[in-house]
Amino acid sequence: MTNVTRIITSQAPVVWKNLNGLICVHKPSERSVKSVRKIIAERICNELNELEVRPPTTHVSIVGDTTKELDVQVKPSFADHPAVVGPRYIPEELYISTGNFLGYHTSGVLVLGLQNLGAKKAKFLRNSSLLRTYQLKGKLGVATANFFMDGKVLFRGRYDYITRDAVDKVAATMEALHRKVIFDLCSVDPRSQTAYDWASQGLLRPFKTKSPVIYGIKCVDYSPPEFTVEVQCTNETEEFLIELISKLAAKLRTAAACVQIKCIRFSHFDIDDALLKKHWSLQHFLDSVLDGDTKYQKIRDTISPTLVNFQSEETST
Amino acid sequence: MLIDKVSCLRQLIDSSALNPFQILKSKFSTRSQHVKKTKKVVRPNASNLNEPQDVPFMNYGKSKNYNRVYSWGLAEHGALGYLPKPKRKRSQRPFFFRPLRIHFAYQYPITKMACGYGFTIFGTAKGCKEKVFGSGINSDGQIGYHDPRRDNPLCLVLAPVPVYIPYKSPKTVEILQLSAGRAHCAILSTEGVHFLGHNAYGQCGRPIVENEDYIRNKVPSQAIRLGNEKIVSVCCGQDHSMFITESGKVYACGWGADGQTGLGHHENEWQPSLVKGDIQDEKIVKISCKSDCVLALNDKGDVFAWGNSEYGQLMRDDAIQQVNVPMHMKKLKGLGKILDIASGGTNCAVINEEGKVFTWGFGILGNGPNVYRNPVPTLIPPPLFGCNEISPDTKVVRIEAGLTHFAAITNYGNLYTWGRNQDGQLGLGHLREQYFPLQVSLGAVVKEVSCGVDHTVAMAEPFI
Amino acid sequence: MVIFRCLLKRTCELNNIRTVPNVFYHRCSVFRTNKQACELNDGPNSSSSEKSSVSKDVLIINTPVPQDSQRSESSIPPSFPSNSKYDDSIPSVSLEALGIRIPHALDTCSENVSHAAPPLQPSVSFAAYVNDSPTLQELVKLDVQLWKFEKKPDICNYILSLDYDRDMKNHLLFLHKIGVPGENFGNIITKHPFIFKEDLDNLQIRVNYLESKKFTGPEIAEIIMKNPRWLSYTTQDIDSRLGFLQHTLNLTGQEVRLIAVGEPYAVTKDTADISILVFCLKEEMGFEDEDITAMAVMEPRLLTYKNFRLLPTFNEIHNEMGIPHDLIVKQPQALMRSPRIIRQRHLYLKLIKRDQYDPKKENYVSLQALIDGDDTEFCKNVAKTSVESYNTFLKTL
Repeated sequence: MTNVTRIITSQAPVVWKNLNGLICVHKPSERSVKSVRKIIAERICNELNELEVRPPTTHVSIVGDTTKELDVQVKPSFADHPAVVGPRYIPEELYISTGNFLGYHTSGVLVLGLQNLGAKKAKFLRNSSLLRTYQLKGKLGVATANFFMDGKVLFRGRYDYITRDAVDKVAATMEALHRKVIFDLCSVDPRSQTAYDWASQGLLRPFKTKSPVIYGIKCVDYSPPEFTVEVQCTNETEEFLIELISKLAAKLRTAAACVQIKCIRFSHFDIDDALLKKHWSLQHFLDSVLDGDTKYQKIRDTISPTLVNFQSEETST
Repeated sequence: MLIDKVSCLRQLIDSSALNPFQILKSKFSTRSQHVKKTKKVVRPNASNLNEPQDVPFMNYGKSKNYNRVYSWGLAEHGALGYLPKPKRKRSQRPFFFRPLRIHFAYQYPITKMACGYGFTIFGTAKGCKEKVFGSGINSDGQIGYHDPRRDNPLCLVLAPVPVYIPYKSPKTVEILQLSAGRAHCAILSTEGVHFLGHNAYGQCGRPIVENEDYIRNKVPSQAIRLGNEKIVSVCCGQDHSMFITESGKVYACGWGADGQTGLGHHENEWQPSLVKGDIQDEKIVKISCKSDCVLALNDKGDVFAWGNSEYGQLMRDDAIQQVNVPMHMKKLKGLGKILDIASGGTNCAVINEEGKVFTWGFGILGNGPNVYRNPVPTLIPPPLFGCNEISPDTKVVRIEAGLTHFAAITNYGNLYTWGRNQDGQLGLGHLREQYFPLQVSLGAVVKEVSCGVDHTVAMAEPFI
Repeated sequence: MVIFRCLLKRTCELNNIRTVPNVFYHRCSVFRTNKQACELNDGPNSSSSEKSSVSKDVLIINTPVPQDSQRSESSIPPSFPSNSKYDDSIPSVSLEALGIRIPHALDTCSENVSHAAPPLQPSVSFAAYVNDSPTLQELVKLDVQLWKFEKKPDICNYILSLDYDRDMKNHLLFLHKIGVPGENFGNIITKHPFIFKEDLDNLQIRVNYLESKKFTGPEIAEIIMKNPRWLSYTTQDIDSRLGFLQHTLNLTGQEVRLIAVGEPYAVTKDTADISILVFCLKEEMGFEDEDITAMAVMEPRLLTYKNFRLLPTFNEIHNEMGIPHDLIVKQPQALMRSPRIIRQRHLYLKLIKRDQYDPKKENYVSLQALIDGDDTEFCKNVAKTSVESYNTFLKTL
């Protein structure tokens, strides 16, 4: 753990300098990541403007009769006054980038990078194909047009004969088949020694492709008609996850629609560390930046581009 | 529609003619229609799905057919149970390199199966009129006598046909186990063991008849009995057969040139005789043999072996390559209690109680392309079978050997195969060798698997 | 021909600004030669040899272009008229003989040239002018947020044309007279800078109208503070709007006043919006007329909400939570909250089995208690659990 010095300040520029890194935020569902970024930028700027901001620069004016002795007046410049020029910190200038992208319906861990350092770190996280854990809640017995609960209901089905066992079996099979696909995605010849070496150490990380790869599916809760499935994957999209529920149900000879998607983990960033919307304020963000830094360093040190090393990714179902 | 009402309203307000609220009376509705230009107003919630709507209702229910049979590999001889339409060029041999479900299993409740060298036999459940079906090579009558034209028996049966066996009480007899060798097969039922096929070495348990035309045997021989001992298991090697009795004793008959009968000599023996040696006082529960090296497992988890050891399957320190008396495999002691064994053409595999697979011998052993011989049992890394931090409790529960390939089933019902793949017998979707275990894509939970020389058959259950 | 730039007094320059979109600029006057000066006065092509008594080498400093000058630069011919002739016969006379002295750069200047400065350039912000303009400085002292006008060129042009003493002082005094506190002036001007355009008499008439309708002084001040644009509506307009409100919602006089003071924007809003809202409340949500009136009086801000903002909240409260209309009428603030907050709290109460919204049964949770306060108070008073458990629950949504 690097040494951390604590500073108590009310100076906005000091705070601005330190808001440079990764923050972990809980994204509410039914909201786009863009709007989340906008709200966070606005909140940060509002709070920064309330702190002690930079005072106006001085305006030097030389006044007086030119035939007599001139007077040099040094006053705070009106041209730099916040009422004329605007607030010192505006949301458009605060650059926020995303570390992992969540869809509109997804809620959960969203890692954002603030300003330049944050942008670099966020870019690294984005391109590293890190492991993410989602919890998908589905409702059995209904099939909708867009596989999600707000779509038009297409048909209904029986689901009383489905047992927890069956769901587990299907999940296990899907998981194993997805793992097999990784070989093809990695463009590794299964007949080579490299493939054997990698495969015998653990799971491969698809470093050449952007297709979704699932490492694990488990049914964590089954209370018909609702059931919850935990998925560990990389490179996923929201549509892919929503359809996963329907595919699972199809194997169970019934229909299902996805009701909720939650991202509960993104590599080392857990949902416990994620800031709720009511906590989106400067002090919390500063703490989150510190936290994010340590986690990023951990990831940086232990990540392997070819293998998903679970020790470093701290996955635990 | 609300949108129309809004525009009417605006017109009325503009004209200020009438009181708008007297005209536009509509029923109170909870479901609102969205005014244009608003994006996502009503937050979606699951109550949308609760509304009673006039939609089709699908009612599949549980699977009625609970035993599925999948087969893959070389289809030319009909061993798979069907012959596909020749989609490929005529010069190419027809094969299936992906698991395909056999329709035949829909019509008859298949519970047992065994793969021989180019043929397959299936056993049905109790109560079914036809007890045993067979398909594939029939050059030695290994699947019975079938003559669509009188006195012209088929040497090749391309679809499963019922095998006639003279049971004393056909309505109550039950098939317990099937086993198949190179050109003979054994059917263990409640009435004993019936053999079909080749008997030049006495592997069918009956006296050797010189120049016997096996294909013209219309009726199989009588059931083999071993005195008062009840036979609980039968295993066919390449040209010999072995029986396990209730008390764990092993009897063997057939070809013994490599000592695979374990009777202490290298001659053929048609009379099933007790196998002694290190297994004399042991209770054997399982025997595995695909060609001529035999592994036997006792109830305590010890492994005994005899037969051909040209490839070091018996792991002897001396250079003796044919062992005709069972010997205890001491080198497997350190692996823990052994739960399952499999002996292939040139290599052997065992599973210990932790679900780990150890292989030794010669050939494709599952340790990568660089390893082609293992003088001692070597572990195949568990991550290859899907045991990793995400699902740490995955373990292998069954292992079967074909002549040049292996098949393993995990506790989650996933099937992994590795070995030679010249006819697609691994089921992986290609014809290349697989040097380490890779999963076969089956849409079901695999329960049993049986490997032949160039084809594999698996029995599975649906998920629901 | 030599052209110099003219140095002008700054304050009177500001009055001359004409704009192109988002850019303010000021015209610079130019020096002209005597020739052009003559043509200016006499018209072009009027040069003749009689006029050449003055030497062509003499320079004359021109007076600044008058403010109402209609002439643009293009009307002044930029070059010599083609029929001018260089007359060699004119004897050259030295400047000293004529008594004219060209000032040298390093001469001591005996005049006060403190008014001289470079001309103002076009700008996108008031910052370029504010240090030199007492009017703008006065606005800044009043706490007017000038940066908010940058996107609206009309307002910018207008403000630059203002003079504090001439245009603004009287209006501010008027505002003070009707009781608006001084610290709100900035807010009012920021919201409605065109208030200075209004004639003072008109403003007085409008205030008198309000007084005649029995609005008290402090109430009027409050109205103006909340909605400065009110003063720009004519009396007839306000009258018809108030009448419309009274008619649609069946209000008494006192109630109209309550609504006008509580939410003055409701009065100046488009009347169609209010009709749509009332329609929505009545037809879509199913409130009775009396209910709507009661809600409007209790919470006038409701009238400024659009129907599609209220519907999700209503859906949540009425359908999901099952609260009947008469309870919602008692607490109309609930309709204005975001449906997300209501949903979160409702689901949490459902989880801990405290979702009792029927006043007749015990453990009743009123709608007001549900929406009131932030999470700490909600957890302490209503849910009676710790805030941590509520936070954990929120993260599962």
